[in-house]
Amino acid sequence: MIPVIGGLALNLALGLAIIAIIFNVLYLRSGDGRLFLSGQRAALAVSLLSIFATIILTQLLMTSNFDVDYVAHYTSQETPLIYKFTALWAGQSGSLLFWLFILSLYAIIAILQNQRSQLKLMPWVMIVLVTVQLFFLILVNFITNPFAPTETDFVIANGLGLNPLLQNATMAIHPPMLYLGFVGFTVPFAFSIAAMAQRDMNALWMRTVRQWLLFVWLMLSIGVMLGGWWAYQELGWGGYWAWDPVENASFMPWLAGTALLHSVMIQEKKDMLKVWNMVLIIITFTLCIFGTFLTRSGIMSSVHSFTASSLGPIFLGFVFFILVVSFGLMSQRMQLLRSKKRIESFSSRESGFLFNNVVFIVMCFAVLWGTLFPVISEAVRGTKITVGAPFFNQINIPIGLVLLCLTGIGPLLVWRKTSKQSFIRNFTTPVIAGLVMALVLYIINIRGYVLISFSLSVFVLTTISLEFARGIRSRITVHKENPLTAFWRLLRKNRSRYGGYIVHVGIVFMFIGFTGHAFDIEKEFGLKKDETNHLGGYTFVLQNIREEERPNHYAWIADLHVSDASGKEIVMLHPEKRIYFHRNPDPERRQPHSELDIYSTMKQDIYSIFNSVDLENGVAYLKIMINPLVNWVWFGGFIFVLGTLVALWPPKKEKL
Amino acid sequence: MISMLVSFLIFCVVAAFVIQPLFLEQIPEIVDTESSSAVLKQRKKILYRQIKELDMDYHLGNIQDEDYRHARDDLKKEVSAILMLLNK
Repeated sequence: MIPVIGGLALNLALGLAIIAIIFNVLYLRSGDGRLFLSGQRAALAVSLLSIFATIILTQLLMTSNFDVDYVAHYTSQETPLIYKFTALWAGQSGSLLFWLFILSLYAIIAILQNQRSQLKLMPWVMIVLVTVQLFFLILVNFITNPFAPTETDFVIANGLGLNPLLQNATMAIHPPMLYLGFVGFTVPFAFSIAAMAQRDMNALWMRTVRQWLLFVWLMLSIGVMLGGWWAYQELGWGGYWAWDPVENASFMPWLAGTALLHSVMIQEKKDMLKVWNMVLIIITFTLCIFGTFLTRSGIMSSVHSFTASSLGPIFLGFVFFILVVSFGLMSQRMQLLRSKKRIESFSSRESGFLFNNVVFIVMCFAVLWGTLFPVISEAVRGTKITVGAPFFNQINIPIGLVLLCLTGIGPLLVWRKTSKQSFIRNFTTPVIAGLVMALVLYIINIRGYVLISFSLSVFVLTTISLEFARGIRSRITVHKENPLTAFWRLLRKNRSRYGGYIVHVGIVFMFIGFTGHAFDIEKEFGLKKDETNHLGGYTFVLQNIREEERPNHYAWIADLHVSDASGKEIVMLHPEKRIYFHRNPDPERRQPHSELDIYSTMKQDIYSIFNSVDLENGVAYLKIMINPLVNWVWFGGFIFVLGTLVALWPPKKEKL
Repeated sequence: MISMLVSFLIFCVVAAFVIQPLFLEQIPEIVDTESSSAVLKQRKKILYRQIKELDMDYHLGNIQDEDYRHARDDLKKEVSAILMLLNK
């Protein structure tokens, strides 16, 4: 009975989505307030029914109702409860329903939050939001229904269970965060389309959009970082970013969104770059849908993607529809979007932002080109050319370093024009600090990108530290505050500015971590009990191989003693070799999996992988990697999130 | 049978919720509470914030005396124009 109700909720939501669009269009033509109210209620009902359907699917997953095909495919009796819940986004139809669920939550908030303040735009906002919902409702109703019954003529006692790679705590948070980011860009997109449709180019809707942007950008950032964390902890290749097509799919909207976040400040403050901002909003949203297409269509080979399906052409059609409608409308409103103001000087904050925007977009298109090249080459020449990490690194490392440099230059530029004197005064100390770092690195025989990256990191950290120091000193002089109070008030009264600086500090720490990759070392070896091997000044002794049976897998555990050159114990590592679904009578269904163990410090990680076990001879085959500075990436991520939260924190109501 | 009944009930509740406003005898007036004056107020708020930031940059030594005075005068002129429009 319950699956039938879930299916019906989706049917009803689909019908209501069409009704909501019709009512809002009729209201725009007639001005009859009753149609507006009914249209608004229909839009709310679409969201409520979609949420209701998601709750029903979650309940079916939690109670292991194997009559439903999706439940039987992605859970089993042995699947731990938390992973029964995360199975909601583990498969094609469930994840599409989850997309719809988050969009519905956002739609309800956007509609209720702005039902009085943005009434002029709301009919169009609802039309756009519901149109996107309608697209996903068509998918889950007609193409890949999560409530479809299991097609067997016997009772299914147990399901197939969740992929072991997805049975990880990070996987419980990473996809929802990514979705919160991806889906969230629909709201700013809806407001921009509404503003263009209603010829309303004032600053009010931009204020609404800016807060949304910052929030969804934070969610996307957390999602992308958690993806890297998951890959590092779970996939066992020792890295966190492989330029995999699906990783790129989440990175591209992040790049466009970051450019947008910087340039909306210019529109808000200077009433400039309206055309550019519209282009960025459209591109960012389109890249979110395009990213979903890359994951669903099966055209890309990736560890993250779903199997090949018929969804590709439908998604591609929707991307085409968005681009044609959005840019068509934009061309109609070009006169309204053009700003009368011009950038006054090359050495202004405006031009700094614009330059950073251009670099972000160049990077975004480089990633897009590298991601799509295999597909394009296959379509044109019939041969699939693989574009791997070396291509992306070659293109993106220099671009990334330019961005890092701009992170240091930007804060020192002022609106309109930065005078020569202040330019020299503000840049002297950071440039000297960067050059000293470069000289030290050169002396110790470090060259190339590593030298540039570390030197630029010092340059940027010095500029930001000086900015904080000047701000604190100014408050101490003007307001007679002690340094701690001055720091706190400086932050509190200029959240957006100093929150942004904290984000930049986080980015610098992350770059330090990325650069550490240049010093990675690794070794593979087999060890019997009490045998030793060495790597990077450490000694590894296999003390024991234990066996353990757990509810959903069987594990061999290596007890690996690690000591330094002086013989002092550093840590005891316990990497595992697991066999999931070990009780399944069909050996084909059993899945091997290596569970890593990592010893992390700010200096380096000792990364241990249990590749395989030879039970007859009692040999454990291990892979050990020494990865310097990786923790700086995660630490930088925390600082990054903290800075964004500072910028996002709502200010006290200003008295006008 | 029960699923049919529950489905029918959900359908009725949703239909009533959506179409109820269509039967209102009096046409509700949809008024935008943030009119053109709100746009001006928002612009004024942004300009005040820009003046604050400019003052701060001046105190931090990021901007020279002459540039500061010039930029501040321009911003004040913009604020005055908005205040005049708001007071009309």
